[in-house]
Amino acid sequence: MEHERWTLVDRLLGAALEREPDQRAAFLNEACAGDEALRHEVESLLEHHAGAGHFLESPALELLNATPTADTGARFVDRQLGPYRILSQLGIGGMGEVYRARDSRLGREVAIKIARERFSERVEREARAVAALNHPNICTLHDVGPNYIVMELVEGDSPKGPLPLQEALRIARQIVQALEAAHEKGIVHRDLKPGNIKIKPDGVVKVLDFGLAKVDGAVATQPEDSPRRITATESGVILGTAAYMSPEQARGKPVDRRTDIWAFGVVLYELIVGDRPFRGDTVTDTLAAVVKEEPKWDQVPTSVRRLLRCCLQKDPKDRLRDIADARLLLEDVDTEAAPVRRSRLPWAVAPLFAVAMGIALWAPWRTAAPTLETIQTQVYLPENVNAAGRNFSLSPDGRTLALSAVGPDGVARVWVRSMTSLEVRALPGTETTPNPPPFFWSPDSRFIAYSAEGARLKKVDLAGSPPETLCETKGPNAPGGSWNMDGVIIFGSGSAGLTRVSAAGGAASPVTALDPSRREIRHAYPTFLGDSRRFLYLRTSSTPENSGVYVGALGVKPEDQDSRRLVATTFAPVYVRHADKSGGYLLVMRDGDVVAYVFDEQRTQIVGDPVTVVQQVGSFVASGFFSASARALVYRPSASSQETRLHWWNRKGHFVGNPAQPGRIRAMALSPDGLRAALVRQDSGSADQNIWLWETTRENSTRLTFHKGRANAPVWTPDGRYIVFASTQEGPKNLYKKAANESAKDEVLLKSDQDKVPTSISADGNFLLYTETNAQSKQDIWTMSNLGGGGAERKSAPFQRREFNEGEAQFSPESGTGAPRWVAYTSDETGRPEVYVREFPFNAESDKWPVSKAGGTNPRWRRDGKELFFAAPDGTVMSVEVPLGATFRAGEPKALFRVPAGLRSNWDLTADGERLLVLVPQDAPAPLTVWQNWQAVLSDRQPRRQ
Amino acid sequence: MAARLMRNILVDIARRRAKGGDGHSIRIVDIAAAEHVAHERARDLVALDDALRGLAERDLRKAQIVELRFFGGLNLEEIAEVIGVASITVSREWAKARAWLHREVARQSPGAPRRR
Repeated sequence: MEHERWTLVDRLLGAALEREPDQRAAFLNEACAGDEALRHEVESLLEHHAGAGHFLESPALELLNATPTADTGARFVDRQLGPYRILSQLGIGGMGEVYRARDSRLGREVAIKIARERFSERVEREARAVAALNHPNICTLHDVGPNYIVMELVEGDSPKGPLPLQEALRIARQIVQALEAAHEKGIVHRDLKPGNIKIKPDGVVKVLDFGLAKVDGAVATQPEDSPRRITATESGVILGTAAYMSPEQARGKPVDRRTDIWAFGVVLYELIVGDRPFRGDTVTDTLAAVVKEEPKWDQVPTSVRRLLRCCLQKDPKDRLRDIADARLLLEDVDTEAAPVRRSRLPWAVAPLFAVAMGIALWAPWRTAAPTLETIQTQVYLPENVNAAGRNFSLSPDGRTLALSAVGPDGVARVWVRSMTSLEVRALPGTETTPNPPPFFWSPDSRFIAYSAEGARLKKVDLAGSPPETLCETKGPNAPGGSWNMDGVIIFGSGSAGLTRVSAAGGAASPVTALDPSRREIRHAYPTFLGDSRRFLYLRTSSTPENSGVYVGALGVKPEDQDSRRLVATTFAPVYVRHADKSGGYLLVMRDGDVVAYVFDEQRTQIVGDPVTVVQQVGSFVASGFFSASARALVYRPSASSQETRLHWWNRKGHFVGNPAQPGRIRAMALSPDGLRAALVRQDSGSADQNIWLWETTRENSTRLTFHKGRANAPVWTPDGRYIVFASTQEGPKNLYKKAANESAKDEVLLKSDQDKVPTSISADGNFLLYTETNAQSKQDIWTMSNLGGGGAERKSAPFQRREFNEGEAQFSPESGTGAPRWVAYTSDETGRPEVYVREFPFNAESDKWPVSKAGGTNPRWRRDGKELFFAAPDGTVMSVEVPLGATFRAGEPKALFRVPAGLRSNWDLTADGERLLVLVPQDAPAPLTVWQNWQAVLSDRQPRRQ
Repeated sequence: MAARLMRNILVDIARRRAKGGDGHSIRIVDIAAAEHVAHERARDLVALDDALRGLAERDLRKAQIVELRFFGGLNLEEIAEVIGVASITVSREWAKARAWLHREVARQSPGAPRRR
């Protein structure tokens, strides 16, 4: 009874939420038909839905660590503190908040820590002493005030182990130099830990927060500075600093330089091993370990053991005395260079696009890895074929690549591409779900099994005969499957265990069952072992200690399947077996790389540590973008090139011009007269974006905004004099206005806690339409009036505010400078984005005219208002005629031409609608890379520590 | 996806903070104002954990979505991928789960009449 009731309430609540707020009461009246208790229940839930505000919007970790409310943080932003203008909050520290600010005297950016209380005289004195330090590895203090400290702004990450020895020592040397310089001046750090160490993009190490830990004579334990640094293996926030305390600190005794040496030892240990030397579940346990336990030495290379032992002597009298001694000991360490080997050149293969590449894909602050020579080729697809990111699967014989792609008709199907020629084709009749999970092959490389439309699992043969249904799948997709030598197929599910079915089709039966006691959500991505009886698969659970790769077997009852986890991961396993069936390689994603575990089928276990196969491979949730067979490995790198170019096209979609232009363009908006464009360009060397003005006939552009953060979405006023744009310089995207000449000042239009993006300005220059993302993460359309300013206050009001996502609103152009009459916009109220037109200003009684019939986004009016353009889901530019009249009437949408994938919203029209300025990506999303004979390299590789 | 572990850690710390420290020899220096508010937050988190257990008993899928989103930090598309439903479904379930949890947590706060 209870369950039925719940389902009923759930359904009614859902239905009520679909309706506009003012219609819900009436709906409930009808639906509840006199059951007052039921209606009350649903209404109270509706109230809480409306009143939930920011509830659950911040991830849990930030909630617990952050100081009070957003108010406190925003308290200082945008204020002037002497010569410093506070720009944004960087984080929370133990004693106060840290902000990014600009020093107006020197024109440079700094970090300011503002404490909640005034400093004691002692703290101030210490701070001044630290300020007198001047060393490249020490974060410089610029200024000290009664309750604030101004310091060098250091951009970079804290180091995290395990690191290769060479790299850990490189970092250690710089820390030592910092400590040496400070100790010489009598300053002790007292709170050295990875959180206080940052590696700048150029590789230079900076130590932060010298001497600031001491407050009131007792030792302060601070929560970690940045909540996001917490790793899953740490046992808690408060323990962050306890783990680095020396035994004498733990006992409350006074500290001196030897405390720093201890902490240095702990940090170096952690960088090398990847775990802390002293751990415990509570503060007390951790400190007990610090005082009594010895760290495990077996994972520490012998060359550094002596140094570490000297640093980690419990009695300060026995400890390394002087950090300078550490430096000498460091110099003695034998550097273990990783072996530099060359792989054998693979057997001759000469596809058209063979490229020789060295692999040196380390993050910038790591030392360059020795390069290995390999031959890699790239897979290019024809222009009108759009392959989704993650779905590509190599046949067992390595000859064919099956992948999901959308062809010119906008439908996703199974495509196959030969690996030995350039042939690529779609298999007819293979309509798949819109975003299918990876397909899988029959062992003889003849058939491909896939998730078809309509929740079915189907198979199709390479020759292209009509596909056959195997069975129904529980959810819309079957995440992963495998086909053994005996004609048995098993496949995964989004909400259940694995299922088996015969390759000839027929009845399906469960193979594994979810274990609720382990909070399992699904079993997926099975892959058979050599004996065609056992298989590896992924169990996804809410508990990390239960998520991972497991072994199962056919012929075993679902509840009796082995529950011993082989590999901890949340990614799909890919298994490549050795020809002799003794075992194979188990490939999974780890930290963005593909790693290989050696698997012994006889003993059913993993042997040794994993080896990195390819670095920086793309992934999404549980799928890494790679597929492997014995001979070849295909993958899609995660780096994308991001080069773009502006082209002129005509209405037929033909390229008509390639104007001279600057680089790093991300978006643009043509000026009303079509002679200029506002470009969004990425700053060189940083992730910031700013707006530049470009005359379409010249190569150079002039910079308009100087924002730190991202300035985007430029919209011109109809007179071409001003540009309204969004920027993240001062928090979530806020709205600004600026005259379209570089000497003008930014004018703030609207600042608030929500993201806002401008979309259109009315012909009379009075109104602005913008899209705001509300607290429930839905997009709404808003209007701002009195845009021109001039005395009258600007007011913002919602145009529409509903449960769905609505945006991309565009005013209809009016003749002369009349007030706007219509607004074209996009809404996903039907479940898929469509273009609609409504009257302006918004009137609940007025009609809503649908413009697109089968999906549409990015509406654009022609400047005489007689035509409305929009983009169809597959990217085709559609046009609709709009006869002028008192009411709105739209004709049938007509396809104009196709725009290649990825371009969907980056084009703009000239006033007469005859030409478009289109932003074309120079490289498609990183092309698939094929690596022949990848296994040959594995034996040369050093295993990486887990 | 350290959702479950994170949740355990956080709730554990929250419970400890709500009770007021575990009495050891080191003084944990923390500024009074922040401590008080952290205290409040901690209590919220405990209430949330209780409410979430209640939700899991009635509607496992909604509870899973909340866990993955709030504790695991996955976005709607990612959750849709794991559970194998359309993201619009995840979005609707999330909205309803949130409303229910908000109400439950409000009912558990001191001063509200206790009701289960």
